[in-house]
Amino acid sequence: MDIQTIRRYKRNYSLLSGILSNNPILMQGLVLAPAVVASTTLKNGLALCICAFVVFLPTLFVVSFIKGKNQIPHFLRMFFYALLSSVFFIPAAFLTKAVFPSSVDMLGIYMPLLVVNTIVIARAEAVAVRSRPLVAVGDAFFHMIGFAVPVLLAAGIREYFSSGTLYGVLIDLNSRNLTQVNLPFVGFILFGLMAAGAQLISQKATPAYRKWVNKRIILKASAESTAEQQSRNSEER
Amino acid sequence: MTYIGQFFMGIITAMLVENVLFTRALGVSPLLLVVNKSKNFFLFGGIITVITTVSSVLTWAAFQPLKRFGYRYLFEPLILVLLLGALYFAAYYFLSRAKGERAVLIKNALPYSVFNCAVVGSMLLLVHNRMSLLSSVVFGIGSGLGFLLAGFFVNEGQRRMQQADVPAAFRGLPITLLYIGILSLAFYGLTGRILAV
Repeated sequence: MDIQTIRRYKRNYSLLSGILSNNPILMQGLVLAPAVVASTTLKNGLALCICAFVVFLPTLFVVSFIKGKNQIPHFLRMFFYALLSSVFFIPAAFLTKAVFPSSVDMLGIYMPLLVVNTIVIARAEAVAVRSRPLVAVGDAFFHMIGFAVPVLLAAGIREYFSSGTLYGVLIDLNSRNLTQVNLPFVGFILFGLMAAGAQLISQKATPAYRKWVNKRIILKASAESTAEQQSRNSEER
Repeated sequence: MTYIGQFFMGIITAMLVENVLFTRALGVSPLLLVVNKSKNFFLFGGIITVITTVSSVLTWAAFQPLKRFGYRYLFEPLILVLLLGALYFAAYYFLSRAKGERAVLIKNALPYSVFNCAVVGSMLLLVHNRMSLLSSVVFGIGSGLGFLLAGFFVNEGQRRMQQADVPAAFRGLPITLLYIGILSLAFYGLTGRILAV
């Protein structure tokens, strides 16, 4: 067995796991407050995702530099992460206000809430404090995609049912305008159903991925052994 | 007497009508992390109630001079984190001087109960709604107690769901989210509102 190949597959798997099997919202239940309430229209969802990208990626990049001897004492960590995120929130909010001016007002308290979200703590403690900066940013990026996909999906569904539009464009003329889909309870139920879907897919996909990896490793190992045998044979001759 | 009545009415309104979890979804993630351990949860909820009460006064005072500052929304989280940080360090200092098992338990739970969505969200609501000092305090107490109440409901629900035959895909987080969603709908109905059909 080639240990290098196994390590490479494991690394790739843990990086990509943020999208499905370790999804921050659907599998771990993090960042639920803004996702449930603020994903009412596609514009709001996109504004939330942009703000989250600009807050989380630099925060985890900075955190990844602090390790080993410079490690922060345990009681200071949460305060440090929240402080760092709130500093990066200033450019993030500025950018979001420039791109989606009306969405910032509609998001209200849910945009500033991103600074104390559990995803920063979870990713910082699990990956950023013990990896190279590039790995930490890669991990944060895939987790952010895992955050953005369900938020945008929920936002699209809710916008379609509440006003018959998608990204402000009228799609369904006969829409019944169910404005109550913008209430938090619909968000909870939608995310609950999506979480069940993600769990089902993950339960099926993870063993399939493992099987595929094992097959690849066995194929590679057998190819290597035949090549070795051939070279040995040629040496003997 | 009327003031006492209004005080309790305010707390009950903040607890039920404007429940932190069911009507605003604040603090769902930290609640889901601690709710399995009922002992820890009541400690966590108790600390949150104290923190929201004390920080509501501090937040009200800190945002008074910033009422007309145009770019306030950019700096709101930073100011709040610094305020809560000061409160956290003061509490941590006193707890490290105190002796006993309970002090150590509270000290360990303190970081998670100060920097979370329930506390920061309540404080942001308080700032955005421009409340007076008294209503800020009432809102602070009510928010903390509302979080405790919500946690009690979710804890009880999870305990019962462990015994039920839940499909494999729904086990864990999905069924809890659906349960919170249905409870949230119930709280919406409790306030007398009706869904338009």
